[in-house]
Amino acid sequence: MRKFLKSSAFRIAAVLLCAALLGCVAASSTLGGATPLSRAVDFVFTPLEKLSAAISKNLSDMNAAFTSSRYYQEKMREMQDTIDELRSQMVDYEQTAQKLADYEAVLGLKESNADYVFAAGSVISRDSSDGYYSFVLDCGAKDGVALNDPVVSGQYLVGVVKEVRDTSCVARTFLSPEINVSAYEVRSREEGFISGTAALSRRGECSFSGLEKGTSVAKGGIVCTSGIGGLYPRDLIIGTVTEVLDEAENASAYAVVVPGVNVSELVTAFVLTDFAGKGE
Amino acid sequence: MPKKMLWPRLFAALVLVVTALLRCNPYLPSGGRSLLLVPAVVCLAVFEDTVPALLFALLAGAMWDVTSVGRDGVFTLFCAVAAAAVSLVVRLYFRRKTFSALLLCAVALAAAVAVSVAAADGSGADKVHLLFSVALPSAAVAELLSVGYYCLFKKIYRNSVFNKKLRSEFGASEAK
Repeated sequence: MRKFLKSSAFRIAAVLLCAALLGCVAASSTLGGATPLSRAVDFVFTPLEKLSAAISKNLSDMNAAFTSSRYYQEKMREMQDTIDELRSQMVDYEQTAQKLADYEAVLGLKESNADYVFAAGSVISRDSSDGYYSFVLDCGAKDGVALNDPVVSGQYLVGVVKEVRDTSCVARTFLSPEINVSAYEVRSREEGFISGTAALSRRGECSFSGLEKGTSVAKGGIVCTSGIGGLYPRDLIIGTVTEVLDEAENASAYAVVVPGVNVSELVTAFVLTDFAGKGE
Repeated sequence: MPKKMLWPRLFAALVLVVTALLRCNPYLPSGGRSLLLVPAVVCLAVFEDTVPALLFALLAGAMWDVTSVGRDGVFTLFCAVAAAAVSLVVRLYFRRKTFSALLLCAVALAAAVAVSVAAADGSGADKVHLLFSVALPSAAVAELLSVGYYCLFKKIYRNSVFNKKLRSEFGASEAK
């Protein structure tokens, strides 16, 4: 054991470990919150993530087509080659149509807010250990993405960028307790903030907190960002109120909100790299 | 690195990369995948020397950190310490057996559950919820899969299809 500890191989390994530790310390002070080791690995690993995501998406699309159409399965046995080609063309068409729908939604947002600047991204990986559905987008610093940029899908707020690398970024959804979004309810104009808990996140919900006890916020109300703090632009839709409850710990109320977008099934998203009032 | 170890180690690195990609793929069914890298790293460390195991663990941990939120470097550090400890323990105290690998995987997974819950967002109640809804089920699945990883790495290092000479030397050293 002593021999091993005194060997040059162990010393080299100890130096490498210290370098990794220093990298962790440096990451807290560097822009983007990512260590140099992560940046280097990400440069190689992100293309592999995209390839893996593309392969499994294509396989799951083809599988869905098989299991949902017995009639075509029977036809396929008779005209295998022709039907395979037609199905492949259908998958390409559906993907293009979905992309078009995404861009149309963003175009609507852009037309009503000419100051918005977007960076488009596809979801290439998800942290399966995160209970709040965080994900990785394939747009990064080279696309103008910066730390704390809002992430949107159409006109709905999805989350915020929490880690930026050259070619990818990690986004946390607003279902996470770490992300608080100042918001207001459109009908009653009452202000509060959006936050999350693990239990609500499991059901795909979040809470609109900071309401007064006799609040006029009711089921069906629409919650939007208020723009306070300059982190998020005003009037991005967050979700719809499903119920209003009293807080157990204090004399206030909160509303349970269902997000407008199912963040666990997000395929594409846009990062708002600039908007009027950012940082004010 | 001895030339005869090149192909087994390349194949082992490929297994780690595929495991990391499976772990973070957004289109596979969710649940049970979050701690997959732990049994992969531990079972690899059972068959490797300490320094190579440490280097493989740094690679696996970096791939884990790239896709996780929270503090960068936590899982790299965890994987490095786990691999070095497992490799040393196997060299000094344990035999290369399935039961040893399962036991070491269980200990490593328990530590991984503690680290991932501690690093998660939220209050104490949120962390408890995540522990029972995400972390423990993932640890159970990873422990079940550790047998597969052990057999895979045993095959890679003992019966390498790329090197028959390595296979006979491995068999002779096991007999000792």
